[in-house]
Amino acid sequence: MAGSDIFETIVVGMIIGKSDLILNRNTVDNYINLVQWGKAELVDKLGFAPPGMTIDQHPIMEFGMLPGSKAAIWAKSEHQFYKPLKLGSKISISGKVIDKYTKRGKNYIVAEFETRDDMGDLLLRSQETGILIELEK
Amino acid sequence: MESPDFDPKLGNEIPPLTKIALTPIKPAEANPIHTDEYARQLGMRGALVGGLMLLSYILEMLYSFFGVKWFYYGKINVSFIGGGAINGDSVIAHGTLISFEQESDGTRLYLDVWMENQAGEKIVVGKASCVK
Repeated sequence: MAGSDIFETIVVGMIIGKSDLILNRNTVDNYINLVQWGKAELVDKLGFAPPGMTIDQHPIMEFGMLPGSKAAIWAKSEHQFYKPLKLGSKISISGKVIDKYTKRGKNYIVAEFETRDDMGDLLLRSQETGILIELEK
Repeated sequence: MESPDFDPKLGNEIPPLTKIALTPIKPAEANPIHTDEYARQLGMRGALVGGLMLLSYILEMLYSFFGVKWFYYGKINVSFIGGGAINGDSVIAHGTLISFEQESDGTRLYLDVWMENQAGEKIVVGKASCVK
């Protein structure tokens, strides 16, 4: 079964960790280029980063939690937005595993993430389901 | 900024968004599914474009329509299906109004959202909503 060795080590409730990020102009510009974001006024006039900019931290955090896990495919992605990501702000992301299951021979991990600003205000709540794939040894 | 021309009738489509789906180099270091070599081992045509990229295109479409309100009231729930997008594929994000309800801060519009690849195959499906 793909990913079974790593999958067995995952415990529901496991804390995925915390990731801190400063949304400076360079970081935001890199993301804008990455996703070909076409609405420049969002950053230039409003001083906000594109919505979802911090979501790419989630798989990085998951990989960090699972040594030996190198590949995964997103199956589902759910997000609720509460406040903008402000240019220059420091944000923190925390995550934990909330479910794991096997379906049709594939191993799924469900994780929940919260993104907060340096005042502790909630910016984004996310739930993501990924299919774990283990590299051939 | 909000889309000025939308007729809020059930079944009407918000302005779609077309992108060339690209696989960035950096994430491939962490997840080889975004490299040609590994993706082909799994039977794919080439490097799989990450779900984050596809989601970001849909979010841009929704921001273009809902404006800043998306940051305060936006909700989205999508599933990645089919063969996904391969590096260089042309993809189109869509959204269609399916219902609405009154909230204290305005009217929340509920949309079916989806994305098609260049072959017309749906590769992302889901729901989104926001106060308009």
